[in-house]
Amino acid sequence: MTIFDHFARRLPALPGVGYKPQHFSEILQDPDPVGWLEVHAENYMGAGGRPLAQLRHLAERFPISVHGVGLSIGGEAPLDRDHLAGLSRLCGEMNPASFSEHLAWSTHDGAFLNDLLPLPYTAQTLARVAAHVDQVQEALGQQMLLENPSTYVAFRETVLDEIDFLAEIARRTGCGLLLDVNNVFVSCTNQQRDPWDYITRFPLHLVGEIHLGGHDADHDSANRPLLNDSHGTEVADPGWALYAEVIRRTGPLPTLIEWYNDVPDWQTLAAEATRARQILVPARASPALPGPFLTPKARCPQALSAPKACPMPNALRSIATPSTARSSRCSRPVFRLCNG
Amino acid sequence: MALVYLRQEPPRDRRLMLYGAGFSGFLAGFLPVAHLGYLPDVARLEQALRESYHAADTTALSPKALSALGEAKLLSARLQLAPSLRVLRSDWPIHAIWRHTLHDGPKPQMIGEDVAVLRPVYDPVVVQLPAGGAAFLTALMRGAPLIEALADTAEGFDLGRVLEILLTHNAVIGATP
Repeated sequence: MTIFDHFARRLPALPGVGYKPQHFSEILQDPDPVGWLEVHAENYMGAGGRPLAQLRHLAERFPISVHGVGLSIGGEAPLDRDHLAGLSRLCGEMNPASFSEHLAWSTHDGAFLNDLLPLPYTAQTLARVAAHVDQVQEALGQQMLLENPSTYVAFRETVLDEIDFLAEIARRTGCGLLLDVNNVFVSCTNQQRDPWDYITRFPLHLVGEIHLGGHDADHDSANRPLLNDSHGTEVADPGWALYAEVIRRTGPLPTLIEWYNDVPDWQTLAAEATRARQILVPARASPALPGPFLTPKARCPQALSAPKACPMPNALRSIATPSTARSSRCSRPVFRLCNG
Repeated sequence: MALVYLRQEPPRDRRLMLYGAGFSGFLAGFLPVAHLGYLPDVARLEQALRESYHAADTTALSPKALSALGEAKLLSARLQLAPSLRVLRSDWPIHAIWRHTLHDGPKPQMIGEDVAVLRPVYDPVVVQLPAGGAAFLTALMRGAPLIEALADTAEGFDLGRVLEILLTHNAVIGATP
């Protein structure tokens, strides 16, 4: 990471991980090889308490990516103004290097479904999503990245190709794209398409961040493979192969390891990040095909030093996640719910 | 049971940390658990703990600052209490049941408990209140001056103990004379 990354307010082209509170102390003590962290916005939109205290502390040491999972950008209804205002407050306080959301919907009749559901790709949905993306970028005062979804079936009314749809949204709004390589593999497998063709056709020059994660394999009623975007395992081999090809074409990009269910210990998660670094580092040596991603709406330069190992001072022990909270029998409320 | 609730009352807010405020009311009307009379109140306790965990951070007033007011001024003062404070009254031993089922606590004695949920720093704790404590705190939370809140309490009310609970858990954040 260079100081330029901070001034340009963008994520460094290093491995990052989805932050889980049980890793707080270990991340501060020895983050290597992790260079940045991603959080799910909705888990940090309470009024206060330990979650926000931890995030403030981490945001002073690491570039942070705020990743929304509840805005329902692909939904038919207008964006929820209160929720957007909450996101805006969070980003205003944390000054994240990146904000991203999904090409998906998650609300219906006012109820929040806590899932990222696919939408048909038509001229109407294109116009609506583009308007929503404009609204988000306006509210946050920064460019956002839009993530390709995991899909299971195609809609009959779809007339546009997903890649053309995403590229056109980016063209109309100036947003960047978040390429989830696992979603590519899941969607293509479920719909009998070629994931290699997908990444070949994808507008890689618009990609500001990559997601890597694991999936569960199942079969549908016709006994064809059905993959579920579960984020509960290591990255699968086809995911690594597709990722290596993307990086060969783009050069190094910020790359997130997503592991949100059955969360492993820090060593296992860091090992996944190391594996991503092994692909990123050789790519740095050879010039990439398209140019590097640049944030056009960069603002708020922020002086930060590169993350480095540091011992935990006593004052920090109170915001560290208590070890009892790692088991199901925790001193915090049971039924504690988290998004994502 | 949770699935029935989820279908009946899906989340409206995308912040799932706040979901479940209606769970206690749902349990009170859910026939399969009608024989577990204490369940709705234990669910209220759980919800209070979660709300307290995510409540806004505040700076506590020191006991010194409070005693510096002097008795007369203190009695007429309105105390501002931390937004992480919750007060619950129950005909069931909710705290004892919660500790017994989740934290290997002793078998509960079947007497009602009034409790306060307090958050000294980041971890909410449950403290049993003496008789009259819940009504007194509820009055303070409504903004009543100390003397007015005291008027509702019965003889023998242990004001010292309640103030001690508040002060040792950083729950008093201001006093307006």
